[in-house]
Amino acid sequence: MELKSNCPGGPIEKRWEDYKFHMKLVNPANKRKYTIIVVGTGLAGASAAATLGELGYNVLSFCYQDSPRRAHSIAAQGGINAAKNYQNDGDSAYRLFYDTVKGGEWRARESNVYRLAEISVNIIDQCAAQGVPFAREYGGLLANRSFGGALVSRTFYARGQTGQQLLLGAYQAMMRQVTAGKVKVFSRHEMLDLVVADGAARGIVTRDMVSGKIERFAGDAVLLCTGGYGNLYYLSTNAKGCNVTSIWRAYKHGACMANPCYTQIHPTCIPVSGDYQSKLTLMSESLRNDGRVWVPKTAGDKRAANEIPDAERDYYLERKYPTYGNLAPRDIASRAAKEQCDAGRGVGPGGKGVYLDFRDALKAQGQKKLEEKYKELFEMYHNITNEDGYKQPMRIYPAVHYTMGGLWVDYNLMSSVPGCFVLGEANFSDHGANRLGASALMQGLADGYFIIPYTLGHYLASSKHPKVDANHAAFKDAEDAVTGKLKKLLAIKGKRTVDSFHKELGLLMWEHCGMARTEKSLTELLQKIPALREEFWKNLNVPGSDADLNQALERAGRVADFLEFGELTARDALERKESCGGHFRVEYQTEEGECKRDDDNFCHVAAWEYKGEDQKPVRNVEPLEFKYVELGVRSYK
Amino acid sequence: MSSILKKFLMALTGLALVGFLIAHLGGNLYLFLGRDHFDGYAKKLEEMGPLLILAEIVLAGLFLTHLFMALKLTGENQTARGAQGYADNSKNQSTPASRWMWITGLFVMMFLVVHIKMFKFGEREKPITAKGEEIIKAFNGEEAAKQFARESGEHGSLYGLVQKEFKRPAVVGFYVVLMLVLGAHLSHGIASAFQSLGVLRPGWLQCLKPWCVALAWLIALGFALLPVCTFFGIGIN
Amino acid sequence: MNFTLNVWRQKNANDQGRFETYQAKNISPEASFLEMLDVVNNELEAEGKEPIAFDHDCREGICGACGMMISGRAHGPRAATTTCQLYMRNFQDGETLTLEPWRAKAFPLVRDLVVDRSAFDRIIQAGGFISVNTGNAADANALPVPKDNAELAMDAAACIGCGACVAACKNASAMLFVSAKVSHLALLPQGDAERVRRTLNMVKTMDEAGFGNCSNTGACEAECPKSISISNIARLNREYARAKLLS
Repeated sequence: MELKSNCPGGPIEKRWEDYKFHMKLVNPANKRKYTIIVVGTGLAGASAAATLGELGYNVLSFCYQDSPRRAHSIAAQGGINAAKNYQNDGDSAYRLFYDTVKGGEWRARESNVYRLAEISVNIIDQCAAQGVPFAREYGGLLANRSFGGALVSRTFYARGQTGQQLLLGAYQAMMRQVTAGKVKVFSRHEMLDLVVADGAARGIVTRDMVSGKIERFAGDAVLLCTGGYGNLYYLSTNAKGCNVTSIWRAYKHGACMANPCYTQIHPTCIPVSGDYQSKLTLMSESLRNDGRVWVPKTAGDKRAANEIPDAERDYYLERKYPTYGNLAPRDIASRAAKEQCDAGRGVGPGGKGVYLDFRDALKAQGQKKLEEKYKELFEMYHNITNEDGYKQPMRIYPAVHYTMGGLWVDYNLMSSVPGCFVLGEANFSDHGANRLGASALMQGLADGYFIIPYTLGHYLASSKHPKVDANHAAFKDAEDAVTGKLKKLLAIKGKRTVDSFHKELGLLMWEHCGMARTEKSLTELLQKIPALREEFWKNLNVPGSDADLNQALERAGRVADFLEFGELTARDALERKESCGGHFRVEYQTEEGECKRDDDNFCHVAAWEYKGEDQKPVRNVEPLEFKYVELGVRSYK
Repeated sequence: MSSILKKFLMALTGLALVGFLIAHLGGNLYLFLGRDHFDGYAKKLEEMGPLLILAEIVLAGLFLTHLFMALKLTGENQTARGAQGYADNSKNQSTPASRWMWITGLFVMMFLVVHIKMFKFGEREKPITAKGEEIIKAFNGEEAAKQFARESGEHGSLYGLVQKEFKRPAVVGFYVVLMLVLGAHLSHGIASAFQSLGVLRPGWLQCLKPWCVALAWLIALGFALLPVCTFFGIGIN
Repeated sequence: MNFTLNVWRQKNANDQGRFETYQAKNISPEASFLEMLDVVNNELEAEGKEPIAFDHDCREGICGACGMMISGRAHGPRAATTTCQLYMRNFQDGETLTLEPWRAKAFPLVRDLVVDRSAFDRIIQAGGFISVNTGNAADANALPVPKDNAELAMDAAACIGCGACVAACKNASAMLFVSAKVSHLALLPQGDAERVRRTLNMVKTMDEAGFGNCSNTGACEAECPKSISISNIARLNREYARAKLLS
């Protein structure tokens, strides 16, 4: 398949503006003749539904939660970047663009990233007007803070709940459109298939999670805003319900899956405490400003942290990266922690943890000062671990946090299936191989508020597809497939629970395709996953029926898709014979143990195309060109 | 009528009734000054005539509105809670006084019936007996005796009635217990009224609430003091 | 640690519902409350029995999906904590715990511990927003907001819509939820233009949804996982009086 990015040419600052002008518009009176299906109500989905409703389209919005307000964007803590330059510290759209391309190790499209940076300023205006209670200075103007990977202060925030406040803003805008009659919300509805008829996405098939009813919804375009697939690893900072199902269904209908191997692993999470663990909790990276990371020098040292004298401690980040020290970027800090634990020097249960020690900061600044900065984080840590971070070092360990990969989209955010658009974390577009802090919220809202309203209109105005209703054969086929799969899951009646399969898959992925990957580990993984999948379909036990609320059945469907998707991820990781950002291949590293990119052979997007149940997927390539940010080396020494 | 308007009515009538209680308590304190002062105060009130009746009608109106709204709100609230209650309901994080307002309210209403019957329509002791009348007649003449008898016969002595009733242990016990119930009602009611009226700004909530509770118990204990002191003859003889 | 669980089981809204007893065995004190339920559910599923249904998603205390009555306390015994952030070390070994769904007429039961809180969405639809179409906004710094107001607005906006306030209130009143949103938007100059309409419409919808009346018991505030203050309810009352006078 040829992947046409449809990126405009010309000077980068003018591209989006010119492109907007040349796009076709839909007559306002005609907009109400179109029905748009939006799946997911996170930042991307809610902002898209609200904005399209405002424009006059009929929007059908779907989410698996009991209310659209609960989508996992709500859990983002830190903030949202915008090139406002309110601090007069030299920020600009160009600098944000530059930082993002570099931070993503030159694996994202320049045109997309520049557009994101350009739009970032409008997002802040829009959100402030909606009543998002951003932090402010005494003069009443907006406050900023700095965040990893940038030398300017461009992050806007609402305490530690920025994601929540931005999401509620978008949710409220969407609720306003519900009252206006332009948006209809279907909560507790899970999308189980995409319907492609006559060459374009025309609708979805859903399951009403309360009544079990399988329903068909037809529309003129489908927007998938369903987030990332971090739960492939079972343990992640994602919500329990986050899944790959919707984009995996689209993949099976011809949407290419791009760069699934790019997984962001966040270094400062609270370690796993036991095999009952259901998810991992992130603590803000800002802790690394004052905490020092160390492990005991001797493997298997069982003494309490405070009994280990300085001479027997290895402050490995400070040792390895003297300039950045404890502030080394996410991927680097994560890998370094893994290296120490693999060598047996890890601390805490199972040796899966390193210390984040505030002893020296306490001595220098006093507890009061630290409380001012981190009170809530220390409390959270204390609540979860029952340990006092002021009295003994915290224990941290990396955890899967964000997925840069996702469905391939062109400049219009349209996948390789016409009429199927993908927004937010679900697409692959803007972060390359590694995402910078405070950029996920920015991308979700840029896609929903400011990009899709234009590009969707252009698609509708230029599309020649005749109207299709839910009686079309493609809907019936999709519905039959969905019903068949549910019945099949219920009929296995084996011995193992869904969670046991999910945990096993997660562990396999983490061990073989986690922070460090090798050809050997990935090849092994490619054998182990199909075996596990086979056992799943033979030995799974899903109690209950499909005619009412059945949470085991919901989980089973999602895990079944993860079991297929994991294989593709492994395949992608195996084929990408280089290291970059969230993809570290042990074979490809510099002498100092850093990522070694191969720009000659891998400066491209890998977009996988589904070819059928027992066929190998095809790896399509979209070359990446860098005219503005020259290919370079990310160094943090 | 919206739930908030109903609460406004509860709050306004409630606060007005609290105002009445304070005035009533103030008047009752004349008991400590002795028979003449107290009866004089009672006489003054009774001489207001139609004004008194008007005041009584207003009071009754306030009370009935408060009662009616309370019944309506309580009914609605129980419907809203639903048929299926909690199996474990022992740890509700609120004061018992705030949860049992309708019960304490009903007790206060019951008390009111007894109280009005006892003191408004109770038989007052005449200050003078037939024998006494003869003595006055002998010393001051027939006219003076008739006038005295007429005046005291018309009004009687409320003080005497109070003395009579509050010497009965059962009445004293009843009053003290019911005043404690009133105290509980007011200990939530006064602050709650200010909250319902939206008076409690964030900072005020902390400051104002203890004063409301203190006022509630001051009123209740003030009223309870009267039968107790009368019974034991402390300050009231 | 071991626990005896009395759990409300009800297949759907039409079912009778009853308590059933389960044993949670060998639970680590470091496990969260929902992880303890995961263990019990996993055992049930392995036996081919249907797991206990409960709502949950983010498991970090912010999405507002989880919530149940744990031995008479909304979100359990710990203050300012959601059910998912409650850890088993907060309980005694061998304790018997009673798990019940939120009970309120406006929150119809869906299954077991899952209830339908869509009434909250309807209240927001009635006016819990600022009407500004995408693209209409002026520069974010064009309208300064005094820091104190911004902080108060943020305090109110922290509401996660979990419904614990309704569940804990003896009257099943939604005043804390409604007042949090009214306060958030009334405290900001951006929300001023719609202040009257918003307050009247949201209160009207709240009443129609079948929530009870506020009797200021303060149970909502005590159980709110985000410690939203009932001073917001006072503010809502004031806003309502103002709205009535102005409309």
